[in-house]
Amino acid sequence: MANRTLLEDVARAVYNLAPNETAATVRAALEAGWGPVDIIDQGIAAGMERVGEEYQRQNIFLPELLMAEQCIRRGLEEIEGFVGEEGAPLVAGARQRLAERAASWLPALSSCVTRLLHSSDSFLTLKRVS
Amino acid sequence: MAEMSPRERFLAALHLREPDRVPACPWLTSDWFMGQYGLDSATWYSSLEAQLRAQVEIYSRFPDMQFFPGFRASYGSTVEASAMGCEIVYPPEGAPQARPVIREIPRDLEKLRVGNPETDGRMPEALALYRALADRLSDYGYEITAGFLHGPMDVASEVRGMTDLLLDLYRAPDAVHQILDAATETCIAWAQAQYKASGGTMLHILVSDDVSSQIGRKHWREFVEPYMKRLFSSMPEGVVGGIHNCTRSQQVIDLYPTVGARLLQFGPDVDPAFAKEKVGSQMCLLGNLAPSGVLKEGTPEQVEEACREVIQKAAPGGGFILSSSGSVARFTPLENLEAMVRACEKYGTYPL
Repeated sequence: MANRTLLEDVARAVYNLAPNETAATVRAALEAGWGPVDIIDQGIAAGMERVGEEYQRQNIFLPELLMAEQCIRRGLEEIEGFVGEEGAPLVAGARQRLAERAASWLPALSSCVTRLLHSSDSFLTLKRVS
Repeated sequence: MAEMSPRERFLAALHLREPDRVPACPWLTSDWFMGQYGLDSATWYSSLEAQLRAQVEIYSRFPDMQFFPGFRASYGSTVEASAMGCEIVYPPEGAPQARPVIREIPRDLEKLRVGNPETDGRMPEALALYRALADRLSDYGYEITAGFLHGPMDVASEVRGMTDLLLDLYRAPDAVHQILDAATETCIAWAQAQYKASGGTMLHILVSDDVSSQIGRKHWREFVEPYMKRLFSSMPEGVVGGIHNCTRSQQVIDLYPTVGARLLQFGPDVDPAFAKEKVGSQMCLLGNLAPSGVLKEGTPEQVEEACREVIQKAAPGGGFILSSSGSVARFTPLENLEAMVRACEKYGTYPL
């Protein structure tokens, strides 16, 4: 069995809002033999859940949520590169699940803020509410 | 206490005193007027006649209300960003929108510029509207009482794009400071220009700080506080500077007085009792009926009840103006605005 600490490293990197570290820890987990599903569910998603809890407690705010999303992207890109075309549907499905989960944390943003979001570049979570 | 005029009532509250009763000041903005008069945004924003006719008619019809912000030129939310070089797009319905001009950092930072109100973007057009409105209003016995501008962080979010700006707080903080610096100088010039164009009749200038609802206290202190301080210390002499934040602001609300703001329009996400406790002794509070809630959808009786709750929490001791928070929503019935006045008479007569 591969070292479980590697999945915790992935979760911690997401929680620490560190995109490069997330990519590196995902790569390390893949190379150690962990499968994409385990890395996504027990690493990336676990880290994201902790970020979500902090957001809902209002200990962190939108910039931090956006940085976590950057971590998720980088982590999924690593997996995508590793599994190739065959695993692409798996990664796409995970991306969708994570996006829906993150969207559920966001409050209904007021028109004042959505006005500003209209002019924003893409962010998968915010698109849902704006 | 002798009955005050709506203006006297408003000024007493603005200066943290107890008026004869709580002033009722619906926040009527362009969107409500466009709905009320069946006008599209292109007509509204470009037509002095349309703005003049609508405001004079509504304000004359309700002499017991001190409308807030009162007579002002409407030009949408992108005027500051346009002066800083953003392209503006005009959706058929709703307000104009800005396209970010700083799309890539550091490449586009050389495009940063401080907007000149007399020459740049939509500012000359907005100033012309102010001057013409000031000129014509005197025929009706009114004057321009309010100025409005988007604060440095809100302007920066249009110049850079909201998502990228928030990410840049981590990725490129130095670039954010550069953008905020230019935005602040633009805001200062714009506040002065509005005041001058109005003929010096403005009582207050409100500065929006909506983006701050989405950032934490640490970021606010680094990226908002110094620029707001600079802006409020440069307000025209005698003008009360205020902050508009129609979303959650609990994490920074106690910092607002420190930047020199003396008026706070706060949103329905903030408990009026909380706002009163945190800043009520230093700032006049203005709010906080939800525009799209009971004020728009409820019966006049329900509106009165909602007003009563806010008045009971925020009005004791004075320094409170009953208003909607973000704006009065399009198609809000006039009967519900009248209900606000009745609620102030019933529940907001001092001493409370």
